[in-house]
Amino acid sequence: MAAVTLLAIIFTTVMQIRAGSIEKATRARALSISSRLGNSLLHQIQAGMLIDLIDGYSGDFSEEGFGQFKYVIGVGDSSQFASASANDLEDVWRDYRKNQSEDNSESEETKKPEFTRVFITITYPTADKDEFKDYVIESLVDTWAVERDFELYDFLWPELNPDEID
Amino acid sequence: MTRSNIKAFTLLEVLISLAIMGMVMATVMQTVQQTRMAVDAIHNISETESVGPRILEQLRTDIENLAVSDVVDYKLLKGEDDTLIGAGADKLDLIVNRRSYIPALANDGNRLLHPYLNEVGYRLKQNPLRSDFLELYRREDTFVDDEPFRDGSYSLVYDRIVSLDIRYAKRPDFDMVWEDYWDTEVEEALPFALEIYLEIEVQPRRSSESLNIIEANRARLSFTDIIHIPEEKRWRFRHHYQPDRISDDPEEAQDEQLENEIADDNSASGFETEDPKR
Repeated sequence: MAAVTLLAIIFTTVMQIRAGSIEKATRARALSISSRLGNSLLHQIQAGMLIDLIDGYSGDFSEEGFGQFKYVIGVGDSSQFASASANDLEDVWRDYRKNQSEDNSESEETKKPEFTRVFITITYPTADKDEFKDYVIESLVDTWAVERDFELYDFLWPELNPDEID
Repeated sequence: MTRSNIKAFTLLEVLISLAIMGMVMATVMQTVQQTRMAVDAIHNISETESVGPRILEQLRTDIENLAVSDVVDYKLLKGEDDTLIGAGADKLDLIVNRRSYIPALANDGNRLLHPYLNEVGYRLKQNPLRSDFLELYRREDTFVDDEPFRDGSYSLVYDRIVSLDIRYAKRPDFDMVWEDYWDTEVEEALPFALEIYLEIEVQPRRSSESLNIIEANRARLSFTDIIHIPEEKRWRFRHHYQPDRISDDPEEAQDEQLENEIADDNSASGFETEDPKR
């Protein structure tokens, strides 16, 4: 009887360890996919390839084959999407619109910064399919690339022949 | 000795023991089977997401370490469009400031060293065992010789490549123009960005569990990435032939002249003998 009890305990432990291993491996995989997809998105922004990038730009990675992975991009130091989960976008948009209408009342011309802070939040699924977690990438990107301001790019990095430089 | 004195198990006791043993063995077998499946699932989970990004990372590191200040005649990067068995098999050659994997013999002939200025290339060839796949090789030639895009030692990176396509953009634009070829010697400039498309096939193990885990059972995977070459680096490469200017300030000019003389003396005395081929 004691031997059977012991065996039951051992099997339960083995099964728990097994489930834990799969869960951890799944999480590691989700994190590495999030990191890869997020960095790929960041590289597109750095090359000025993301069209109409605004604060709160969102989407998913279904083109890359990972439709369950969603992203939201925050632009600027004061972005409200800096730590926004792609699943709570509705609430964040409501606050964002409210704050924007307040900001518009006090319009003042500001100088364009050289770099713009960009936050990319990837929301990925966990082993429990109803649960989602966030992975955030934060980086400083050239303002010309974020705004696709190619006139500014040409101004900063003009094409000169070597003998034109004094 | 009478029959009633013999100590032994009854038939019922033996049958009960066998039944318990049977149940225990069934549970053990089930646990072993499930553990084996879990191992396969974990293999798929990690393996299918590691090969492609590793190859891209290798390419990215090489491109990020382009030796912009150490080349002559603008020979720094050459990318060619090519196909093998109907799939993209683009070639890429470059000169990098990156520690070599292959050691080189030092000038004294006694020591092995890993130089930081090397020729690197990527080549594909048909897999001899599986004709529907390509093998990706990384070429490395320590130091830089007169033909920086040839020769060297090849090491296998991955043997189940479906296609590798590299495109080059000259400058950022609303409609970015991508080209299949790039030669810095012709363009006298580095591309603004490279787009890399890599398709590989991995070997996931049969595991019913990995079906449930974010596409972990997929065999054919594709990866796309953009490698943007920073403007500072492109600028430095484009203008690295700029002749040394002597400053208008007489003191600064004297210092610069002294520095140049020291540099000339060092090179004449063989102090900087890092690159015997050049």
